[in-house]
Amino acid sequence: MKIKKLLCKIIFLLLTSSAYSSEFEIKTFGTLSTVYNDNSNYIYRKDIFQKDGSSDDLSYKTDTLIGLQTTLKINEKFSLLLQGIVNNDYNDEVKAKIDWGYLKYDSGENIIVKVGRIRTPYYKNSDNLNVGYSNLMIRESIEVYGQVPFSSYNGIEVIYSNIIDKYFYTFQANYGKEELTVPIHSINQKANVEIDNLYAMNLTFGTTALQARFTYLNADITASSASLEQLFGGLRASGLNELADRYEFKDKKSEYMGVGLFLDYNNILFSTEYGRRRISSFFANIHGYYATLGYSFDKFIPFVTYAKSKMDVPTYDANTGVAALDALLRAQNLAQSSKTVGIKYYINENFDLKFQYEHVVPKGDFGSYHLSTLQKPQELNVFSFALDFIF
Amino acid sequence: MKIIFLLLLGVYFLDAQIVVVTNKNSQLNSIPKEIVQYIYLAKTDKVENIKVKPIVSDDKNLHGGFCNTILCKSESQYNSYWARLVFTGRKPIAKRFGWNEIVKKLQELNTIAYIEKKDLREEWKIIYEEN
Repeated sequence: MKIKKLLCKIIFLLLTSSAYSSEFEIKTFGTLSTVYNDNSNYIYRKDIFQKDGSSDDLSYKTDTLIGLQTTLKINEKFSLLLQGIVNNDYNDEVKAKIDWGYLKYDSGENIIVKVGRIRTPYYKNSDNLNVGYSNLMIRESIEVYGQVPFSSYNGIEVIYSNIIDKYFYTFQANYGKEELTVPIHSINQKANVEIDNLYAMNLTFGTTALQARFTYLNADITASSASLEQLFGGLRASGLNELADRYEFKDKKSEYMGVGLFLDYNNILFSTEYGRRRISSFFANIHGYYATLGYSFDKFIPFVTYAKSKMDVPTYDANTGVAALDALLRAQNLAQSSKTVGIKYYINENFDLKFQYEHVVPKGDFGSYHLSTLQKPQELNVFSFALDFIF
Repeated sequence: MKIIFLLLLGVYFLDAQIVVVTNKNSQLNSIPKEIVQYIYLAKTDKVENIKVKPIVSDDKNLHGGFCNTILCKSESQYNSYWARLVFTGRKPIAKRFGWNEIVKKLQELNTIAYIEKKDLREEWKIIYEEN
């Protein structure tokens, strides 16, 4: 609340002091898409926040969205930015939401400071996940991009960038907090998640052709709901304190570490990222990677991707002696691999068209990011089309 | 007929050598290719502590040639890259200028632009040329 009040005061002061020198700009972006998954035992979805998707039928909800970005340039150094999107949410309703919005200070001398609601810098494309036109694939590999279920926070970000000889580097530091609702569709529950003391660091360096990226995030996270309280309260009441301490998601120190390598040189595109989530609770530890190779034939860019995620310790054979806890632990299995082949067709400065085929192989009982009641996993064949636009 | 057309096309591209220029009175003399790339990909706006203003042409052939030969990217990669900058709030969209506007802009010191070498004027100097 203090951060919000401070931000409002700063914005008010800046607006009143520079009312005669501001510039206002509105831009839009979006994706129209359809997805077909051939396995009726699974609901294929973009991320864990979606409730509905394709299940042996065409889904227009998976990737379709429209976004709006406004920029108010207050003066040479200060600007206000806001981005909102409209898409299908976790209650299977089309809703509008503010994705991010902040006051930005650009020194013009290597330093940028943002205060407000900011994208969390987990992955290379964290900032532009919803802007399909700026990405090669219709959606990023969930094996890496699906590990952490929140994408924005309230706080501050400081960016310093510079060039040494022929190499550039960007250092990014973040601090803040966040509150959100995370659905656990497979057991029809929702958890209220509080993230405190979020610290993040991100270093990117290289050339315009070859870049490397390192990310580290640390936060204290609590997940609660009536059924979780009942479950862990019941364990403690039964004297199972050790079991409760081990799996209860209460003020747990949580970490994410990621590395990436990216090549964009003379028509060859290559990108790879590895991510690792560590949370000592029922929200199990996981690691995963992807590698994408593409080649730009002027307007056509065909690509192939291989991705894999693995639980650090398999959750599907959980046998704690408490049935409700076992069910919760089994639902955390996100192990899978996928192979994707696709093509992006660049139409013009405003539109592109994409097609991709994805073969998904869930690993382990009750597994996969995609919703299912099956115990034994089955493979999925997923076909996706998308039209991206920016104006 | 087809061969003649291809030969003419080849001659056109051989002739269309793209260079980066600035005002003759600018303190800028020579810029390495990597720094030209950084400037046009918005990673820096300074060369040896001199603030530069890069100009983007609205001539599609010229711009496509610049992207390919000097930025080492296809035009589609360049546009995806800029969409990323614009829609993550990092940079405003780069305005594109016609020839007359470029001539006018190059009257300002430390403004840089890419042109076809055959269009070079006396009041400008080349600060980067592909070998």
